[in-house]
Amino acid sequence: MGITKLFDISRRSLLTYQKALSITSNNVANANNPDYSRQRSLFSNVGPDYRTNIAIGSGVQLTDVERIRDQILDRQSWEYRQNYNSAQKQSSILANIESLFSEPSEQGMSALLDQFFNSWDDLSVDPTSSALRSNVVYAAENLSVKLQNVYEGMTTLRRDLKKDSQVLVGDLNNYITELKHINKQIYEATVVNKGANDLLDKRDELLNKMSDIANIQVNIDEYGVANVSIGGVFAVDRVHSITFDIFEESNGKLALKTEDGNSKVALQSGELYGNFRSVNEFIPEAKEQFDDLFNSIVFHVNQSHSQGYSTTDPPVTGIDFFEGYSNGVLKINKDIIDDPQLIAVSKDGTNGNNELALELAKLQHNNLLNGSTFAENYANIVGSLASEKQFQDQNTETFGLVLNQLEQQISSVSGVSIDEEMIDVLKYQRSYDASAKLISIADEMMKTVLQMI
Amino acid sequence: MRVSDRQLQIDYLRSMNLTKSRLGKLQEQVTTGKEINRPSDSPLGTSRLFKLSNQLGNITTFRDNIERAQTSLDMTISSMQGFQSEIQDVISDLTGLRNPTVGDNNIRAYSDKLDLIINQLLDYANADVDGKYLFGGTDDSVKPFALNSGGTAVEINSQGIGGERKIRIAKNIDQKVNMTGKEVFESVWKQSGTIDSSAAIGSTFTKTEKIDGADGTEYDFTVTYTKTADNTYQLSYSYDDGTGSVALAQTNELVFDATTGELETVDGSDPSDIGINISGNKIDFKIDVSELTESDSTSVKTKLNVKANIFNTLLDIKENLASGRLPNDEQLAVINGFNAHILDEISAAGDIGRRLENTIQLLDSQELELKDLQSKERDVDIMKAMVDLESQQFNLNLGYKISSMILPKSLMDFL
Repeated sequence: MGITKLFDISRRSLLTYQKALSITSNNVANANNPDYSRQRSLFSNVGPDYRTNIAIGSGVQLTDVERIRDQILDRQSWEYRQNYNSAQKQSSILANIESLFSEPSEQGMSALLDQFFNSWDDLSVDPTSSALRSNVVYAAENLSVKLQNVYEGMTTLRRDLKKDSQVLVGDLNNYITELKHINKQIYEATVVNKGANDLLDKRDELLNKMSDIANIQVNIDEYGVANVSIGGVFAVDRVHSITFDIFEESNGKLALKTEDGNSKVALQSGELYGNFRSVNEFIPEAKEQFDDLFNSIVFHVNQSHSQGYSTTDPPVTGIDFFEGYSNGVLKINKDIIDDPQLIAVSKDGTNGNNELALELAKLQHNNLLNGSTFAENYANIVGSLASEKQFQDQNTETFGLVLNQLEQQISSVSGVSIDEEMIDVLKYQRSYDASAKLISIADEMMKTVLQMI
Repeated sequence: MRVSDRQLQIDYLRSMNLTKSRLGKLQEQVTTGKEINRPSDSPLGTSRLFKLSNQLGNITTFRDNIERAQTSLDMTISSMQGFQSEIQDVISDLTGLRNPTVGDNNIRAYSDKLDLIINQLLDYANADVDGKYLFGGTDDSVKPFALNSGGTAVEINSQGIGGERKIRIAKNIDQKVNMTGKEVFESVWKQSGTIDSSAAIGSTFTKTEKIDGADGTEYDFTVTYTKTADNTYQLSYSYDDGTGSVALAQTNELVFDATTGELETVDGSDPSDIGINISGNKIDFKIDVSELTESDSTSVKTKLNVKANIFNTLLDIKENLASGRLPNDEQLAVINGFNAHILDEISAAGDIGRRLENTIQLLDSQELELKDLQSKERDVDIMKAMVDLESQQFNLNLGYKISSMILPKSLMDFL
């Protein structure tokens, strides 16, 4: 072995530790990047020259840069991201819906329903009182306005959720397109054995974002390419990708389909599912329950009211109190608004007869809809939405807790520890120093040999 | 376990978020004073609050109803007491007039005084509150009693003065709050009980009662029920003053509901009282059939409140006094009978007043209990919330302090 080999070993060592320091620097720089997976330098010794009598190694070399990642944790993370985002979105939307009810308060529909029926009770004491008659109209108008506010609020929310869903689908389509390109680059890099670590990080970042939106199924092949389907429908591989769009079906429900409309995605989780469930279930079901409730109120109030007599001269009978109810609009008979004397409380046409007012006041206690009172039916609407919100709050907390633990585990495996990296820096720096010193010594040795000449 | 820098951040952020979320909730509870601020805070609690609020709203309404009804009931009692007081004076005066020492002039002079008294009695019977006649039944916008053009008889509002006005004083309880002109001032023969629905067509039964004319003549008045078809009965009438039975031309038809047995119509219209007016004999009373039903046996009970119309009796006495004739024993018996009757009616009105008063007390007590329940369900335990708030604030401050000490530190600080 010649002195010059010392130079070769030292040079290789210098370059190796310089690269190792670069990798460590990259780790340190990305310490706060949540999508970054730490990388580790893999060294190996350079084999000896077996032509000599004694086989002596030729130093060190950097053989690979390993990306530290646990795919099992990633898969669990995607699943819980979908569930967490679905629950959180539903909770947020349900909070929005329940705020429309203004419950429990004097401005809530429960109190306004009570006030409407109690106004008939008030009127029963003094059936000819103009003030009490106006009070009945006023209570009915208050109820009508509140109902309209709630109903319109839900309609606006539905419209907003549809727009929000379109934005989410637009994002999803962008991620799909981007992932196809990344997949292609990963494949090309892997085939020629170039490092694809940063591309893999980018791939996982995109998969995280997609799993926030919808329930994705991911299959990673031997090249690191992510083949993704969404709700049972193929979305992307390294060659193909398709885009999705939102379709409104004939029953008013939203559906996620491929852009050509041929394949329907079975959404089960993710933010988009939260939106869809609200638009397709919570809002229409609440509206349907309101429709049932107010159609029943209109029917029963009118049924009684039309049998009574007004206090006009001459008394008139056969008048409906409500003009009707449709799509959240409760219309009070315009003639009654103009002339409250047309309110019928008398059953026999005499002014002091209040039997009908008592009958109307008692409607609030009768089980006239679904075996329950009007107030109980309303409480069921509010209660079922509130219970659903409470359930989604609990899901958000539970899934959030699991997701947090998974992120902790992912971070534990893939996250950068500055302490660890600084130790590596010291280690590599010392090795670099030692290699430099070795060159200096080799140089001294070479000088000594040259001086001998 | 390997601990990365980001792990510390995740832990720190999660703890901070959790503490802030709890802090926000407690701050809301402390500022609103309520534990339930939205239905999802407690769906079951919200449902209970709805019920409690509904019950409290009803209690307020029932109490308002009662308080307003009490005003007119007090006026009703006051009018009846005034009426009874006048009647008491009339009894005393008429008894005095029968003293043989009372001269003819005094008897004639009392006729004028009785005329004034009758007008005063009519004022009591026509008493009103806010233009609503207290004894007008449900047709309270029309004066219930008025003298006829000749001043010889009192005419009653043709729409009837028997309508009962009820208010709700509890969820399922309607309380009558008026005394009708019919029950207080009119002569009413009530028929109640059951008529056998299986009886053969053509079968009959009768009921007889002693009725007085305003001039004090006593009659045996008989009503005959004849079954004319299924669920249908014809009522015919006769009277006898001891000299022979006289049949009235008047008949009335009762039809009962075939299923429920309830009285469906009287003479083809909604059930109403049957008026018997035989002007030649000064007979004027009503037959009340509202409590008759058809059932599986015949058991009809009758009850007469007063034997003759008080106003017409007094008018007849007045006319007689003007001619120097004293009232007969039967007329005095009618007035005494009416006096006892109106005292009963005052007592009945007092019972209603007491019931309303008791109901208000009951409602007040229920309101207190419900408000207590409402408070327990809705309101926050402010002391506990403040202590929790302090504790969470301390946790948050501690978190900030520790994070400021730990998060920026690494091996770099010591190299």
